Amino acid sequence: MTDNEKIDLIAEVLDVESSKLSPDTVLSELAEWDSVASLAFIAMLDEHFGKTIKGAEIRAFKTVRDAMNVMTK
Amino acid sequence: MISKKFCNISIEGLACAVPSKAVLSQELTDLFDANSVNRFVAATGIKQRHVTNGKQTGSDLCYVAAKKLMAEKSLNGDDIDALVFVTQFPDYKIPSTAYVLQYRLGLKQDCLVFDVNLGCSAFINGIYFLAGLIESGTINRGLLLVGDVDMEYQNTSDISFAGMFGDAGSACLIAKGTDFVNGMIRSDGSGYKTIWTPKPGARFPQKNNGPLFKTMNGEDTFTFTITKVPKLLKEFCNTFETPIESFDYCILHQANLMVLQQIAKKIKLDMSKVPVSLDKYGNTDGSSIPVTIVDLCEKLKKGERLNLIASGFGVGLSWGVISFTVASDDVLPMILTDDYYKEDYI
Repeated sequence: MTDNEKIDLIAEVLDVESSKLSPDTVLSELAEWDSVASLAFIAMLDEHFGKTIKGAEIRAFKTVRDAMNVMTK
Repeated sequence: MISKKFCNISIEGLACAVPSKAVLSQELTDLFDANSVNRFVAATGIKQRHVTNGKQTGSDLCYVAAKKLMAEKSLNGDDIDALVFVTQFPDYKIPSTAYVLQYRLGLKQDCLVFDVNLGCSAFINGIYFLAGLIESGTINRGLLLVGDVDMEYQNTSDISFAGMFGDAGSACLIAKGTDFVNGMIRSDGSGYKTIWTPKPGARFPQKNNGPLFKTMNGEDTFTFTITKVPKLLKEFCNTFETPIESFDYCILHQANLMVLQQIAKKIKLDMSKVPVSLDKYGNTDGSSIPVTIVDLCEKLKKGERLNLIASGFGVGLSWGVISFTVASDDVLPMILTDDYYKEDYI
C-alpha cells in the first residue's frame, strides 16, 4: 500500500479531506482526532491489515506518520 | 469447551422497564461543544436515553418488569424456584439485592436466590446458569432479572460516559418446556482492568482518593469486541450446525452503533437482521439484549415465533452467545415507570 493510500484511509477514519493531511501532521492539532477516531482507526486496521492494536499505542501516536507506520500486514 | 445444548427448556416470557424520564443526546450541548456531540451521536447512534429519577435503582426497574410479567403469565410466588439478579449496581453492599427482590415479589422460601456481578454479558450468562439448573432437574422455573441504573453518566468529564448509558431492568421467565437453548460462554480475567471500578472495595477501601467511577479503556474494549465476538459467533454456528442466516435476528449487546456494524460486517450479516434499540435507550448494560427484543417485538406483528441468536460482551472480560426461540406474544411492550422502593434508612 502506498503512502497516499494510507493517508486516504486515515482521512476516512478522521472524516476529513486527504489534502488536509501529510505524514507530518500533528494529530493532537486536529479536532477530529478524538476517542471516536481511535475506534474507527482500530476498525480500519482490523479490516484492511488484519491486525489489532493496544489503546496505549494509539494514544502514543504523535503524527500521521506514526499511524502510517503501524499500517502494515 | 464451555458450550451446551440445553434440552426441554422454554423462554416463557420477557418484560423490560425503563424510567419515564428520557434525555436527548442533543442536551449534551450544555456540557460539550456541538461538534463533539454530533460526532458522538453519529458514531454511537445514541439519540436518547431513559434515566433514573434519582430514586429508582436497577432492582426497582426489574421489580416492575417481573411483577407485570408474573401477572401476565398468571404466576405467583410459589411457581418460581430460583431468582437470579445480575447487576453492577446492587442496592446495598450487604445483603445481595436478590433477597430483597424475592421478598418484594413474594416468592416462596423454597427458592434459590443469588446476585451475580456482571455487566454486558449478564443476560447470556444468566440464561446459561438457569438453563443448566432446569436441565439438571434442580429447578422447574427460574426468574432472571438483569438491571442497572448506571451511575457512570454522572461522570461528565467524558462525553462517552456522559451520553452513553441508559437505565433499564428486565425480567425473563425460563422453565422446563418443549424448546431448547444453545449456549457458549467465554471469560478472560487477564482483561479485568479493561473496564473496572476498583473502589471502594475490600482491596481499595479508601473513598477520598481518586475517582469512584468506572474506568474503561475504550480502544481495548473495542478491539476485544470486534475480534472475540465475531469469532465466537462463527464458532457457535459451526458447533451447533446453525448457520447465522438460519436465525430471524441476531441480537447484540447495544454497546454502540460502530460496534454493531463492525460485528455484522465480520459475520457477513446485513444490518436488517441486527436490531438496534440504542437510538432510543442508549447502552443499557446487561439489559440491552432484552430491551432490544422488547423494542423489536413492538415493531413486529402479533403471533410470531422468533428464532434468535444473541451475544453479550464486556466487563470481566466476559462474552458469550446463546440461541433460543420466543413467541412475540410472550414479550411484553416496554414499561415506563417512576416507581421505586420506599424504605427508611435506620
